[in-house]
Amino acid sequence: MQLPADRRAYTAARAQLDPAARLAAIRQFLVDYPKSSSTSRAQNAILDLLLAYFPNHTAEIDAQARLLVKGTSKSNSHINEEETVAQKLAEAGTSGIDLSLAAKLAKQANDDLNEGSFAKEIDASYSDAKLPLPTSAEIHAHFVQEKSEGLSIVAEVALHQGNLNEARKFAEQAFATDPTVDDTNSTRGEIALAEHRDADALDAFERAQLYGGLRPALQQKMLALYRDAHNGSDANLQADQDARYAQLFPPPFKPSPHTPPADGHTVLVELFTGSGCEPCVGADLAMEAMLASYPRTELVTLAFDQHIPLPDPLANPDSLARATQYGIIHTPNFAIDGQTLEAAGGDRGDSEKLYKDMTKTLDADAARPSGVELHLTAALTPEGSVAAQAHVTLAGDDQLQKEIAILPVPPLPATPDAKVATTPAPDAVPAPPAAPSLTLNFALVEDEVRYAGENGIRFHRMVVRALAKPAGQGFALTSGSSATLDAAFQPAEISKQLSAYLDGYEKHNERFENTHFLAKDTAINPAHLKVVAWVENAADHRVLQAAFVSLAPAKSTGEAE
Amino acid sequence: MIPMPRYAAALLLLSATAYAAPKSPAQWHVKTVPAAAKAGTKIAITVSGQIDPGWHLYALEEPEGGPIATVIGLTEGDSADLLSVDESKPIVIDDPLFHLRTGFFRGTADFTLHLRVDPSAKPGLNHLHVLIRFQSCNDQVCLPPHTDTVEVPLNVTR
Repeated sequence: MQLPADRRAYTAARAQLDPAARLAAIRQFLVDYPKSSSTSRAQNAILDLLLAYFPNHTAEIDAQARLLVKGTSKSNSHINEEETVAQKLAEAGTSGIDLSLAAKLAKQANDDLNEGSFAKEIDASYSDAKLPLPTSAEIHAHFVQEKSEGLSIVAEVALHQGNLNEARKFAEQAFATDPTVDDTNSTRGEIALAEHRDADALDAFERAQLYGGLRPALQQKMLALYRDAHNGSDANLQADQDARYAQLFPPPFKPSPHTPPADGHTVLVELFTGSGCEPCVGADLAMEAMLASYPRTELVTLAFDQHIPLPDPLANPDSLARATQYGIIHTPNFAIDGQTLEAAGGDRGDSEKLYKDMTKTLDADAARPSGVELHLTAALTPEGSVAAQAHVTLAGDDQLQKEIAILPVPPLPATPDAKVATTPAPDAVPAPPAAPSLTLNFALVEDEVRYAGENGIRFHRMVVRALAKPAGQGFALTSGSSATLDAAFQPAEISKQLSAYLDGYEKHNERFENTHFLAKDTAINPAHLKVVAWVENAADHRVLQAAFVSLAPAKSTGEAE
Repeated sequence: MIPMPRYAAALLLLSATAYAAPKSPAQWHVKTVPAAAKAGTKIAITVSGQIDPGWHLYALEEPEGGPIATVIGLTEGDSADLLSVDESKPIVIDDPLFHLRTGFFRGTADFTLHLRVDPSAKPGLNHLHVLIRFQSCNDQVCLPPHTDTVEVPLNVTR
């Protein structure tokens, strides 16, 4: 793509490897393109470069910092800019740079940030944009987060100035204002560490991590503190954090009692999700509740992670391909028996509604009998391979054709054009369904992967690690007959391939300029291995039957008919 | 991670309905283009996007850590040099999802490309290819960025 000249110039300036040359090039860019929309970004880049590579250029740093916060506005954005610059100065080098200016900016921002003007500005901007006004409670929740962050920056500056009393005072104010802000907890941890209150420091760092944002350097400090507190061992760190997570994030709701259908089939629910996707939190928890309230003979789920909106280390080529097969390009999204639903996401508080909506559709679908019998077995061999076998018996064409024909119609797209295109005329006669073209596929999944991604979800359920056949292909089946099909997975090899995939994705991908996964642990835990198989109609992805089998703790079988 | 205030839904916007198998939420067309342009001269063309109800896309410049800004460009090899791009005035709002002030478009988005026609462009009908790479979101989901192409016929004269 040929970018505009100013963008090309800025990109070229940023591409200079030598920091001094890069600094000079960005300054020249500002001279050459003073009206470019990238000037603000360039000014920030200059400060970042000075702080990172030229910490002794104190006069330049001071001037650049002041340039970024010039003016006397008390707008929310100006306050935010003051906080950002103060935080950059406080966190520069080993113990901060130009701390007197940082302290001045942080305190100024904190003094200026009050709920009345904060709310007034938000109301005005929403009114201008003709958007529904947020409620007072919503604005208050936003304000306390901002206030907590601002107070924690004041505390962080004071910490780096060596003023521990003031640091502690502001950090505790920040925590009292909103205890769920990760930066606030990180700063409390650093202060406690400086005061040799190791237990408090560990507690604060753990809170920061569980809320989703502990910086890698502080993760190392947390690990050292944990070992110190546990006779040099971190063997129980994960278990302890699991317990802490359960304490901080209790289940948002108790699933309503479920009445199993008298007849029916095993439903396959596929979730397309992302560990950096905020609205996926509600969908993930809704699926977790479904797993808790339905037996695997009634419901099997699969989670296909996507790099949406952030890079996701649980994603893999098979999970991306499955989404492509459906034409899914956003998260979260569900497919029930191969039919995508209207997208629905939300936060933890929304998970109950999502659960209820999902199970309503699920229950209606589950009662449908299937002309497909599917028996699945799988075992972990002594060599560490997974050997899976599916025995499938299919009804004849007529029965399968009828069954496909009575499957619910997928929800209509919401666009007016699409409605016109897909809504049949009142007297239209639906076209007879095409003859079924059935395939079977296997998925190797982990029923629990522990990974603290950006959205705060710690446990990821039924994560697909690999498919036996590429998405959209599968083993061909013939109606009116039986077949026995085998699949083998090599978890160790899959783990290596996943690792190579993530390394490669970090080096090059078409979606993100700078890709850094928070973690790249692709080890597959045999204790959590499961195999899922399902039969779908190749023409429209509709799933007629699914089955699940657990490999742990010992050989076991599962079946669904 | 900072919890997302619930009124993020209001910002990110409105419609409770999303798409089962979504097409691109923005449809692009050429709004203005000169009837003819001399080789070597500066011209401006405007492409306009009609954004589906409930969806929005982002402005040309967004703060670091914020949403993915829209990028406008030309296909390499097109017979024009892209000098700069202007945008219609975006809605600017405190975005609680990103904790930043972000700019975005609803309904329509216009982008004006300031170009210099290649001095060696062949007289007659040429075609420029405007590329629009954008991320779009509604109140519940964000789509990954993708690129749409708008072909712009341009009559080049000497």
